[in-house]
Amino acid sequence: MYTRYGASFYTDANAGSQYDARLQAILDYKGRHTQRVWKEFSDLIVAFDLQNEPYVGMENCAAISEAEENWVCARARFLRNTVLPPQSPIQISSGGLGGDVNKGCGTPRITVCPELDLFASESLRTAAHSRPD
Amino acid sequence: MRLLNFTPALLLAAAAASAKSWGGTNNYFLQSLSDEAQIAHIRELAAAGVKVIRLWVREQPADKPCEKGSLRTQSCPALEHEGSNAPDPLTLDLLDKTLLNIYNEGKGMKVILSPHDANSVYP
Repeated sequence: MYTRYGASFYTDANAGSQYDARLQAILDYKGRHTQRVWKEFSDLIVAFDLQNEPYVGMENCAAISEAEENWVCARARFLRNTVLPPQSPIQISSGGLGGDVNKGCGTPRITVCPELDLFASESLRTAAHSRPD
Repeated sequence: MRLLNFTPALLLAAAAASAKSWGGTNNYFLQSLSDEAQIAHIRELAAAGVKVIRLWVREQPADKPCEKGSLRTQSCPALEHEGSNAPDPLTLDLLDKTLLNIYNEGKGMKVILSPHDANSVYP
């Protein structure tokens, strides 16, 4: 994680563009076996996650900036307005938001927008602080 | 620091709460099991009433043949990996075969697709 942009991944415009390109590569892919273009495969695919565990690795989610909060909606807008076919029933999910509960990242605060259809939460605990719930 | 396995994702609809509920599951390595094992598992899930399965676009490493007690017999690199100039479709091809298995054997089971690479972006 954070291989090129470090913690600026959620604010750097180039990182956003590169990530959008990754999402587009996945949605535009035509299945070698199904012969279906995935962004049009709504009879099987109900939703695409934007990222696996958005904000995972953040050091302090309580201090999340507005630009970082907007990251999820910026990606959702790109998919809905640029990639998905018009009127597509395929929904856009945030992916399991979260990171270390001990860094205030149990459920990070994000901007909500109409392009984001589903909200998912996925929290972790670092091993050093783990204890049974 | 090694993170513990995450708790299962909880999916909440943005629309008003509905009386309808449904069961789903996640599996980030289903596409790496043998086709026979995939189909057997999909049939079991369908028989149990599972409505949605979440899958990931990710590498299925050949040098890690055991994943959570399951045997990985099919492998692939990540969509973007060190030294790749363009997205490598092998991982998409492998996952697409699993989508076909679900389409044929899932008795109407739907899919959520998630990219795995989190906030990794390679030079």
